[in-house]
Amino acid sequence: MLRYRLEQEQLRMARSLTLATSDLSMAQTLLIRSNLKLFEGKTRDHWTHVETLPATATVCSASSWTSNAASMKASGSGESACFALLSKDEAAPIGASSLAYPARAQDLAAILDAISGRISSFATREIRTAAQSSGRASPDRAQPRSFKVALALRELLTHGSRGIYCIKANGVELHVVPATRTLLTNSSLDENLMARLLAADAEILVKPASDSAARKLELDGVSARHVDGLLWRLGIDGSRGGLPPALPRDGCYALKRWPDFGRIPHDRLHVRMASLLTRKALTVDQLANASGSEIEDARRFISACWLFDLIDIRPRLAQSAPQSKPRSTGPIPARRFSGVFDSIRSALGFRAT
Amino acid sequence: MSQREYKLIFTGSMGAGKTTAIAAISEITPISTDVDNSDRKLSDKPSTTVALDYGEVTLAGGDKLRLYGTPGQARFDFMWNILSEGAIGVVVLVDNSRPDPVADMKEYLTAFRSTVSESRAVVGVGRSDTHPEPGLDAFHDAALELDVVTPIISVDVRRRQDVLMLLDILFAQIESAEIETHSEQPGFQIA
Repeated sequence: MLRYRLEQEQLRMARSLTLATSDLSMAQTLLIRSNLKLFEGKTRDHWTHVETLPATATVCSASSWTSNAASMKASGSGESACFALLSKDEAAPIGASSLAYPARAQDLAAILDAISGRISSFATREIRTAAQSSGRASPDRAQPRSFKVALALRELLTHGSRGIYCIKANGVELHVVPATRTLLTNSSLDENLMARLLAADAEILVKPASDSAARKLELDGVSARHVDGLLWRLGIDGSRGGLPPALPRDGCYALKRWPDFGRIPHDRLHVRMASLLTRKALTVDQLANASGSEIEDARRFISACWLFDLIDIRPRLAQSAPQSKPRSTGPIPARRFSGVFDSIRSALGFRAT
Repeated sequence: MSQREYKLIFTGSMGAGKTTAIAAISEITPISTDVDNSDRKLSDKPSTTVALDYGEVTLAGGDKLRLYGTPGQARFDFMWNILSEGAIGVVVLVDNSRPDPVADMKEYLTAFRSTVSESRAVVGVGRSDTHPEPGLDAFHDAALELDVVTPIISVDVRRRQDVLMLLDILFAQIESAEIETHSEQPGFQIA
C-alpha cells in the first residue's frame, strides 16, 4: 500500500500580483521596476509593475503614504500593502513599512514576500493561467480552454510542494504530490477522462487535500504513478495546435534538455523534433519543415515541452529566421549513415511515426 | 556488393542491464561471458560480464548490426576503446540504485568521449522508479559539466520497447547532427 503523509502546509503557488508606484520620481520608479526584474522568479509570488491603481501593493513617498494607505485600506487590500520609499534622512510614517532609497533588490523582495504572506490564502481560488501570471501574454491570443488543466498542473508542479493536492475540473478529481510528480489514482487515464479534462471550461480548483480525503486515499490503497504522462497528453492534446500565450508566436525555440521519453507517451515525430531542438533554436515553421511534420504538430510539441519547463526562447536572428517557405524539394546531400538507420529500424520492427 | 557491418556499443556499470538490453533486441541468443561476480561489494548481481556480450541483428541485404556489451568493471577499460572504434553509437546504461549513479554516468561518458562528443550517445537510467534520487536533472547537470548535451532517459531495459526507444533516440540524434552539418554547407537550408 502506498504510504504517505499529508502535510498541513499552505498552498504557496506563485500568484500573479501587481505593484504600483505613486508619487515617486522617475528615477525611483525605474529603480523599483528594475528591481522587480532583478528578482523575477525569486519571490513567493510573481510581481509585475502596473502604471495605475488598483494594484495588489503600492510603494509611495513618505509624504503620501497616509493617503495611499487609506486608499488601499478602502479598496480592501489593507494598509499593510502600502509601503513607503524613504529618501535620505527621511523618517518613516508611523505604522508604515518602509524601504530606504536607493532600495536594494533583496530588501524590496523581502517586503513583497511579507505582503504575500498577509494576503489571504489562494488555496481555494481558481488558479491563474500561466499566460496571466507571466506578464508576457499576447493580448491577441487567448488560451484555449482545453489547456487550462495543463496550466494548473504545471503551476502546481513548479511549486514542488510535498503535500497532496487536489485538482477539481469538470467533475474530475486528481490528487497530485508535486514534489515527487506523482499522481495518486486507481483510475485509468482513459479517453473519457482525458476528454473531460480537456473540456474543463468551468472554474478549476486547486487546493490541499483534506485530512479525510488523504485518509481515504490511503485506505483505498491507491497506486502512485508519474504525473508526467498526463501532463504531456494534456499539452499535446490541449494546445489545439496553438502556442501558449507566454510563448511569442514568431519566437525561436530550443530545448534546454531532452524530454524524459521514458515517462511520457510519445511517437517518433516527437523524438525527431527533440533531436532538432536540442541542437539548434528553430522557429515553429523551421521545426515543422526540418522534422517533416505539420505546423500544428510542431506547436503541440513546443506547448507540451513548455509545460515541463524545457523551452528556451532565443533571440530571433534575421538570417536564421526565415518566414514560412515551401518545403525543400531539392535533393538532400548524402549522409554518412544514410539508409542505415532505416534498415535497422525496419529489422527491429520499430513502430511507425 | 559485400555485406556491411555496423557496431553498436552498450556500456555502463555492473548490473546496469547491458546483457538484458542486448538480449531484448538480438535475433540470436546473446553470447555472454558471465561468470560469478567476485566483486559483491560493488554489485549484488550474482554474475557479471568479464569479457563482453555479443548479439546481432540481420539487416536488409544481409548487412549485420553487431551489438557489443562492454565489461562493466573499470579494470577492463582497455577494451572500451577497442570496442568503440568504428561504432555507430554508444548506449550508456546507469543503475540508479547504485551508490553514485551520476559518477557512473560521468565515468562512461568520459571513457567514450570521442563518440559522445559527436552526439552519438544516449543514456538510459534504470531503476528510477524504486530509486527516484538522484533525479534526471542531476544527470543532466553532470553531463553539462563534461560539456556534453546528450539524451538522458528513464528506462527499464527488461522491456524491449524501452531498448528500442533508446536506439530511436540515438539514431534521431545522429540524423539531426547530420542535417545540421549539411545545413551549414552553402546552398542547403534546413527550412
